[in-house]
Amino acid sequence: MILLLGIPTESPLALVRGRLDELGAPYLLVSQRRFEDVPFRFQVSQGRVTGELTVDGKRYALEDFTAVYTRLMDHQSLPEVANEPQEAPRRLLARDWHDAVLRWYEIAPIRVVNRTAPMGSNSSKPFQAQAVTRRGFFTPETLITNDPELARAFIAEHRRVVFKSTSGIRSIVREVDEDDLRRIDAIRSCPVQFQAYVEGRNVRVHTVGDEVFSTGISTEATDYRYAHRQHGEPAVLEAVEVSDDLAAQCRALARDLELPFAGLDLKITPADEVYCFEVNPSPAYSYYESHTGQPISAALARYLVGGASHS
Amino acid sequence: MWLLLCAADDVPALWAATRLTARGLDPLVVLTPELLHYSFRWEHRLHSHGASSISFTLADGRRIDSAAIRGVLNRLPFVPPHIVGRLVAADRQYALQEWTALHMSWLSSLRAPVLNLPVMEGLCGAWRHPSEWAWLAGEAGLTTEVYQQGVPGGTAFPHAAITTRGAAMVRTVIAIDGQGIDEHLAEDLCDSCGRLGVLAKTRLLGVDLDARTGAFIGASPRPDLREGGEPVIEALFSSLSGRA
Repeated sequence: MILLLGIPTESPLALVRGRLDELGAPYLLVSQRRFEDVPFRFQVSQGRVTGELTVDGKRYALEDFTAVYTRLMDHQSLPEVANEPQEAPRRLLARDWHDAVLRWYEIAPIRVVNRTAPMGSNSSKPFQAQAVTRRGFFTPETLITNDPELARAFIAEHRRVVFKSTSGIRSIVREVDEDDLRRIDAIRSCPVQFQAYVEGRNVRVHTVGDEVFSTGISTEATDYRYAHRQHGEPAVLEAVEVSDDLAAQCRALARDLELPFAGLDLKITPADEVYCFEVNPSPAYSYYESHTGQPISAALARYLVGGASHS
Repeated sequence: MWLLLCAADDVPALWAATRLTARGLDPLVVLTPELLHYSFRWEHRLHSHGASSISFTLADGRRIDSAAIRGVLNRLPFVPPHIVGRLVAADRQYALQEWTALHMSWLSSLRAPVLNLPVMEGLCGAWRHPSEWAWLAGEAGLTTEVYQQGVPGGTAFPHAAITTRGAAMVRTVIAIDGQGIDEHLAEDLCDSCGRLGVLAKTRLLGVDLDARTGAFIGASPRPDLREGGEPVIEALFSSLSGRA
């Protein structure tokens, strides 16, 4: 049986649930908002992980789950606790419930999309970029510095330069302009990541186990996620094919990063060089599926079902 | 040069520093978080094909350059919050995460041996949850107490984490590159401690055992190195000098 965790109406989770229904695959959907009435416990004994959860009076042994798809949101934002004081029993209960669930699936010997620890490579973009280049992808020429002179020299060398956060904190990727150059001394307070702008076509590749879905993205914006804000028009998405070699490369990189499900942001230059900017460990795939019809959710469902044959 | 990254009050690290220098890791430059963050001209470059470099200048003018680094003993627990105390409150968390991300990258980019490499769960190696340690320790062949966690019946109860409950004495075994180092410990226990380091993907790991029963109690990527004495210094020297 497959365990689905999160907010039932959230698109990525709802889509996978629908696909599992189509397959006739058994699953249990647990809304994280039910933390008060879904007892959950696990134990570890000599390397063996067991436990149980109870939903509406029915007990489920955790060992009977063969896969987990988790879309748990930050429990502190749940409506049930958002307005509670910090030490309120309800808030502590929510914290402990979510912690127990997460700790269990981090070590359970089953397919999990995705465990928390491997998602950590995204907490440092240049750290992840090293894994990217080890797999044969290019990465933009990058300088992380707190020295304005070094930054100015880099910008002068590459003419078009973008800057972004070094950590996993989301930032809007922007080109350095004259206003930014005037205030560049501010980087003395904290290093900033500068990258040479790469010309080419944006391609988003989703890998789900061994399956690959490639989406071409057309926009004049620097950051296609904010195309409407940056350029006044949304990006245009369409399904595209990539070579077998590139698909294999993407799968291998996702495996290196221990991500059964990943979203790779690529740019393919006019000279056919493939740059990888980021491997997203929690891709909001429904945006791409809704614009292109690519059955990413079906692949996710198949991957989760496939866990039964590996348990 | 070799680098030792540690807090100013990390006595075990400073103890190791004098002994490693005497063994031949010379010069060994000790860098505290304050020295790191009050240095300037940080320059971390990643080139399109994968080559990378790091350099920064300490407040006293010394320049640290990746080309000259031959090994790193990394015991940086985290970026201390006071480093960003001069920033406005709204920017402090962001700056802490940015500095952490930078340290994760430059340490990982070095060709020289680094004990330990930074990971998401900790700058000096993974500070794993007790449930994970219990699981890994069992996989490594160590005897463990049963670990329990959960929210039964809608009521939270504290983690029944593995504790020193009932343990009169704790024995710390230092495992380096898959080898448990303790001349007075049974070989199978030493092997299990070494295996735990491998399973935890942590090159330098301190494994706490119940001195009486040998049962696993806990583990740390920043152990008290003095517990292992000169054999640990010998192993560290081998690993950091590239002779391991």
